[in-house]
Parts: sequence; C-alpha cells; structure tokens
Amino acid sequence: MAYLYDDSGFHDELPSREQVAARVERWKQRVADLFDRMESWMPEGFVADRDTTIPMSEPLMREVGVPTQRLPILTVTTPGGHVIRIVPRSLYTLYANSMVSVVGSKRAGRIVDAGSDDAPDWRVYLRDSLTTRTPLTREVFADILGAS
Amino acid sequence: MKFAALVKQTYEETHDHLEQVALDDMLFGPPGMSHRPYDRVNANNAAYAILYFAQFEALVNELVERAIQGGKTSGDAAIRRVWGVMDDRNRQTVTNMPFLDRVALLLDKGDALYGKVKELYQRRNAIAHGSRLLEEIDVTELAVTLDGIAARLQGAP
Repeated sequence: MAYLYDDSGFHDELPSREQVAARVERWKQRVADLFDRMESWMPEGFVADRDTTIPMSEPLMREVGVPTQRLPILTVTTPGGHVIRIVPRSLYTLYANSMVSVVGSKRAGRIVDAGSDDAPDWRVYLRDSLTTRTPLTREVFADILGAS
Repeated sequence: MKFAALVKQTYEETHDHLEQVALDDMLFGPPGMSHRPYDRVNANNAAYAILYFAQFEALVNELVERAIQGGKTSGDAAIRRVWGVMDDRNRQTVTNMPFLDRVALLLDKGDALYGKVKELYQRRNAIAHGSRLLEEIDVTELAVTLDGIAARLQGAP
C-alpha cells in the first residue's frame, strides 16, 4: 500500500475522510500513551512538559479534507539545561506504521512504530545501530536523553 | 553496494538537519511561511530513497554480469549455449534491458523475493518519475530491506 498519485490517478485507493479522521484520533491517543510512558521513565533531574503544540496537516489529511489538528511535543530539559524535543511527525508512513522524531539528542533521531494502531511497537534508530530498530525501553530512553 | 554506507550516513545527517530546521521554523519562525515546514524533509527522503535504490540497481547489474560470465563457462553445454547468447556483442542489450528482466535473471518470478523487489521498484519509479507521495518515507527501513535482499542475491541464506 502506497498513496502515490500520478496523471492516471492514485496507485492505491485512498481511505475516506472519515477513515483518515478516525485514524488521526487514534494517533493522538497513541502519542499521548507514548508520552505517558516516557514521562513515567523520566530520569532524576530531567523535566518534561507538553505545553508546546505543533500543527498536524499531513498530505493525506489535506487530500481528503481532514482539518489541521494540533498535537503536543514532549519537551525534555536535562539537568544541564539542554532541550530535547520528541515530535509526533508522521502518521501515514511508508515502511513503518508511523514515526516520531527526536530533535536535540546525540543518540537517536527517530522513533518508529513497527507495530499497528491497535498494538504499537515503538522502536528506535540509535545512531550507532541503524541496521536494527532497537525496542524502546526505559534504559534506551535514558540513553536517548543522555542520562545513562 | 559500493557507496551504501556513505549514502546512509549522509542521509542521516541531512535528515537530522532538515528536521531541526523544520521544527525551528514551526516553533520560532515568522507566521505565514510560504512553504510547509516538512516539505524539504519529504523531498530529501524521496531523493535518498531513489539514491539508495540506485545502489541496489548497480549491484543487480554486477550480479547479472557475473551470472553471464559463469553461464558462458559452464560445464553444461545446454547452460553454456543459453548464456552464450549474452556474448560481448549483446552485453549492451543486457544492461539496457528492463530492470525487472535483469532481476528475473537472478530470481524466479514466482519467488516472493522477486515480488518484493518488483513492489519496491514500482514505488521507486513512481517517485522518481514525479508521482506525488502522500506519505513520509522511512528511508532507513527501506535501506535495511534492500540490504537484506542484496545479501540474499549474493547467496546469504
């Protein structure tokens, strides 16, 4: 399945507006669940907040007429004052179920869902191990934050 | 794949940079920007997906060349005759034949791996020829998938 468009039309049939809207709602919940888990793993001295939001308006949403949504970023401030932002980036993703970016970490740039909407399986591309998707655990999360 | 490691490393660096720029634009940029912040990330993803596939295509060409040479010197006359058609004069024809025909010289068309290559190649073509993709590409996973197929073509179990 790939939502590609050329002069002959779409290669795969597009989901309906209602289907995309419903999936976006589930995505919001998946992101909230992921952030809950990350906050429960927050190392001593690290501070997290979800005060900042960004617009979500993916190409497929625009194509079928789903309005722009706002999703929170998880902003983590280290004891040294460094800021790492976990950003919900891409719901509709080719070769993954969806993707979250990590901006400001020396250890990882992306977290992908290798599972499904109903059973997410969050995994990390660690910079020194790009050939495997490392399962996201408390220890790996601490590593991403530079706390280990 | 000769330049695969360099392509992957360069992708990671450019991707991280563009993600940072896009987020900065959204959080701290002026209102009413003329572009969508992640357009450049998506263009970079498409470019590297195609570039990485090109590495894979080069490997297929190399393996086809080896198959031709191996076939031409086979001890089995029937095999030697078939591959002998692909002689030096016709070598140009081989490199110019459609990519999936070259893959079919290495894999049975009924093989699931052939089907996977075909699917990835069709997507690659659509993107390379200007189709609009409504999804983000996980380029790293695509590279891992192509690495796995390359290993199989080279005889890994």
